[in-house]
Amino acid sequence: MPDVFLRVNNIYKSFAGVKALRNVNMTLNYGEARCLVGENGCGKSTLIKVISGVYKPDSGTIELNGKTYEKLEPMESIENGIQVIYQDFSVFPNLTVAENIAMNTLRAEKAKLVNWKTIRRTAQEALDRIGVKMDLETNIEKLSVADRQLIAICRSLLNDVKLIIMDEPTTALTKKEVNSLLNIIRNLKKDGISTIFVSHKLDEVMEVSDTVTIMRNGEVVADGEVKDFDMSKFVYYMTGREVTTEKFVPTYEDQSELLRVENLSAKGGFKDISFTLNKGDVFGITGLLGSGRSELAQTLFGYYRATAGNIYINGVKTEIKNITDAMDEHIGYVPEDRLTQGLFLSQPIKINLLASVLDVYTKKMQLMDKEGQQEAVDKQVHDLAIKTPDVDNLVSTLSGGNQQRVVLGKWLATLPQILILNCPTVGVDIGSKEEIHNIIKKLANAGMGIIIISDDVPEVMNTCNKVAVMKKGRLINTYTHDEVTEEQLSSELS
Amino acid sequence: MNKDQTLKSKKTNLNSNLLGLFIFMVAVFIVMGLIKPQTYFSAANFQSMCFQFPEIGILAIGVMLPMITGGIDLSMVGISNLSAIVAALFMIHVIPEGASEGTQVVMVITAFALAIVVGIACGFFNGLIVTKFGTPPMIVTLGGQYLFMGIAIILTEGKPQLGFPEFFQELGNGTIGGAIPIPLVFFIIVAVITYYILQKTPYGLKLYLIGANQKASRYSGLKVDSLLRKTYGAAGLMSAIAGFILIARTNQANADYGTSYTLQSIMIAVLGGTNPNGGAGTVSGVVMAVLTMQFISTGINTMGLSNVNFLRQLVWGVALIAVMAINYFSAARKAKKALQST
Repeated sequence: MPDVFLRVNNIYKSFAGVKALRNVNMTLNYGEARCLVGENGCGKSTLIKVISGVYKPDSGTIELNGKTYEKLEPMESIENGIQVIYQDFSVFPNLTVAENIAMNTLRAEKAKLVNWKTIRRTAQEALDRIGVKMDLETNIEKLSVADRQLIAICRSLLNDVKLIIMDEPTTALTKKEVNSLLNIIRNLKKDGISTIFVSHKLDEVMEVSDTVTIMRNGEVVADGEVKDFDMSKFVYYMTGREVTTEKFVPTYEDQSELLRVENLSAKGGFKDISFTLNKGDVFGITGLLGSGRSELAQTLFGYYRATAGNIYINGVKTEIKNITDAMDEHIGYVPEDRLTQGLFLSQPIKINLLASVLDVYTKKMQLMDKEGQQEAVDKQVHDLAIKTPDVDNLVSTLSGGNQQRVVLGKWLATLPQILILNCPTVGVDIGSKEEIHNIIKKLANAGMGIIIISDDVPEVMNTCNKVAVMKKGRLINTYTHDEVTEEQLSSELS
Repeated sequence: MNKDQTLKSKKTNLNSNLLGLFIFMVAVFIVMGLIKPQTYFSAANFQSMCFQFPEIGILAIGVMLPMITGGIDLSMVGISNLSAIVAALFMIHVIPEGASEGTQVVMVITAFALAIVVGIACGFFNGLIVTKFGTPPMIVTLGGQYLFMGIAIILTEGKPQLGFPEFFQELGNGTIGGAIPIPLVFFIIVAVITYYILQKTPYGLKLYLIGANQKASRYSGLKVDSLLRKTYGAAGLMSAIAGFILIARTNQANADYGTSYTLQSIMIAVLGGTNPNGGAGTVSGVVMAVLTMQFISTGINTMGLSNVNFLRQLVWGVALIAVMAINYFSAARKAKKALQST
């Protein structure tokens, strides 16, 4: 058996004049775990699609198992043992674990009848192979994101896999789940199975990867062993510039109390939460998925109703029964899941920015005030530096970072005094992430009170002046940012 | 692809669909006219067309509203008949024999107001069930259809209601200045007002937002439930108007009249570019679609065949599938282009 499983030679690929890949080379040995990183639009996805046969390169060759292909077909890629696990995992939520795992094998065998015993046996074997225990009869819709991902991995294992390509595998996972995923990868490596990670979250994949390829603007700008890189070097190669991170110190003069929460509880969500948010504060609440962090945020925004406790805004006791109440108090909420909760993907950028202020910009006869709307849109596009040639373009044409700015802009247009951001930089590349952090700091320094919910510890440390850890529905510790270190927060989290 | 090009194609996307529909409508008009030009291209024929399509046209505009939000209303015909029957019963039993013209006018207006109230109430009821229990609109309004028809049957004991004032029949059969049919005037008013509401008011834009992403609408602070109730109420209102014109034209009210209109109105709405999944739909599209259907149906009538009904439905079906296929292929072509530019 040769050492090299995959070799990509001098690949060029352009779409209608735009060069997506320029002279890309990459080598992958059996059992090697390689990390493919780069900002959005750098060509990572295109390269993955070339390897999996979805795109045909303009020039260059792909070598698989020593055989050279000029035009690789998707089926050839699969037959050579390449499996891509996409972000949505392509699982069937209405089917059981066993059915989902065994699905492809069943189809490959062209079975006309379903043998439930075989299905269960095949599924169990696949689960055993990665050392995971799961009830075979559970419907996938009841499972966590992490479990769905494991199922996608199990399914690919059944196809005599040689290379698993994982697109953003850790985006939706908690620290613990990431660790167990990385363990699985380590085991697969021992079996000689190679892995390519496509990821933004460098610290995580660095733990398990042997080698790294960094891309920028369609070119490979760095390639080597992970141990030769450190974080700042990564960031430098990815963005082409040094990104500096300074701790946030509030500078707004009037640091009077804006929001005080006392013993707030919601059944099944969280219990006895108390904290104070001053004007100009950025307050970070960090906790794992299921710690009650999202429920707390959504209760403050009126999406859920608190069952006990009090909320004081500017010292006045306030009841927030629904979102309208929250908006009347000028509370804004940037939700966790941009795509399903934040954006209207089929609508233009402009409409997305205006969604929460449609009733503000009106003229007589209930008609919309188009000039007022346009001014509001222009202001947000300018203030947030949303990169688009035209606000009438669909919001789906924007990159993740710019989409997040649109959601942010939608709320800034309502002139909030309190802004709650739930995981504001998930799926946003490093350069954009830093810019969003700067926007947040600027808003706080203009007097807004900001609450950030995030499990990204460096993010919380860099942007917040107060940090609280949330666990099992309770706030267990609250610190100012100079009282605590990143390591300490991380260990308190898990 | 260069940026200006992508931009252009996105902006004109909607307009190009409407343009396509317009070309299709003109083509149908000409082809159907060529069958029997002398009969087809006559003033009398145009006038008779303008008597025929307003009812179904108003229903199609009505059903478009819940469809824009991602819902549907299958109970529109039920609401039409129920509200028309309430108006009919009022006119038959309350207007005294030999009443003066003035009394008649007042009574007919009262009957119209009554029909509108019943229509809005029925629609609001649909909206209430949809928002309170989260039941799919298709199920709620299917149930509503049978419920409203049932009530209408109880009210009339299943018998047709006849005997309306002269003045009232004019609303369905009369013209303004001997040229413009009164039902057409109703249709134009409904179309223009709906157009303004959808294009110019926050309420209209919110309907599209709900259809595009209901969850994001809630998170953006839109009062989704109240908006949906209003929308089903509006669909009920339009049903009542259509029902009122219908009984004025036919001079009788029936509990089970025009049941085939339900699916026809949905077909016209979809043909007019309304997305059954929500988020898209325009009055101009639906107006063109209803005209297209009318041209086809009149054209086939001029052939003078015996099985005309079946042929009409067949051609309608073909037209709908043809437009859907064209939309599909043009969307697929655009998607392919977009894919290549990523």
